Amino acid sequence: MSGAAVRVLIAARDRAFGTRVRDRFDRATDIHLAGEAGTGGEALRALDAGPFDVVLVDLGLRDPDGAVVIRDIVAGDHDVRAVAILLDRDQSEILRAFRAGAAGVLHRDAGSDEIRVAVHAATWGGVFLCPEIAGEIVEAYVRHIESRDAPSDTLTPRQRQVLQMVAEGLTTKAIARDLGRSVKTIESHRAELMRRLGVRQMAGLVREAIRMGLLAPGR
Amino acid sequence: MTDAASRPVRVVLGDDHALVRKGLRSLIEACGDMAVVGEATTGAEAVEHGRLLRPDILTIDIGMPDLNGLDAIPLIRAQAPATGVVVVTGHYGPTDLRRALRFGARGYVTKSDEPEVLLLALRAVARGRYFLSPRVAHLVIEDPE
Repeated sequence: MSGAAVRVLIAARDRAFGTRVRDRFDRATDIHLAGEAGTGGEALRALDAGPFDVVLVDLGLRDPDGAVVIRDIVAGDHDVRAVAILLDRDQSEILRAFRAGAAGVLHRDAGSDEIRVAVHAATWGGVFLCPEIAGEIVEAYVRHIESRDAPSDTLTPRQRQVLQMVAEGLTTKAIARDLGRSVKTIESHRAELMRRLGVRQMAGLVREAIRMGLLAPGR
Repeated sequence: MTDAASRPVRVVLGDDHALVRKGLRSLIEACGDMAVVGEATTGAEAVEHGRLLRPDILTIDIGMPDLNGLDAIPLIRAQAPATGVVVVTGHYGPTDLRRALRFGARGYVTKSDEPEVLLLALRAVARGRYFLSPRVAHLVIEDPE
């Protein structure tokens, strides 16, 4: 974190957020609170008077509303990034902010470490997801990829390999030898495969391996 | 856990590179509220440490001898369900991130991140949250489209 301080504009309906940021970064050398705005219109006018590097935009902003301000900032001529400030954990608001081009989302109660990381990440094109909302986004993402990808993709590459070898009739000892791993490690893989695939016996593993196309039937 | 506020967050480091472990250890121990309670140099050792030490957090590299970090994640999750796994890696690709999250990682930090990003990740995961490095977070935003 070297070089000139990042110039930040805060556009928030809730003045308390600006006050907190001012208190926390008052003596900071890497972040400079260079302006404040209380409405969307004020924020867009402040940008013309700039320059700023990052704008923290309260999604509760009015005239125009926060997501519209983010879209206008990102689409505008100024080389500036917008980070959204969330009032709550409303998923649709978060997605709207990202679609508008936000370079991250911060919860309004975010600590100074989170604000600092979010602001700096925005300057180089990174995306900050505050931990308060990351869980919902990650869980939705995992559900999405699991419904989209093939069942065998839900296994790690090594699990898939062990499953295939088990189904081909190799013993745990033989698999351990062929893969150059300990018997204990292979046993762990087998136990995890059975747990994950919801089967209790060898036959179940073989059936799953065939279903996943890891083993040609009757070979 | 009545002493949750005073008890340090217990961390196990899983990385085959000594300099990386050393760097992570000094960073974590300088915080005061976290303690490194073990180091693993292979994936299999990380699984074993997870089982025996039951740390709050286990950081894991992806490219490791014996058992790679991605393969180790489900085994750690099965052996130590309360341990939050944080991937700390030089890989930023969508495939590794996708696999890590699907296999149960709660955090993903890259070795190019600033030290404060790692600390945010460890604290967030210790509180039961998720944390993604700003270098990879765009992937979970864009991928579902």
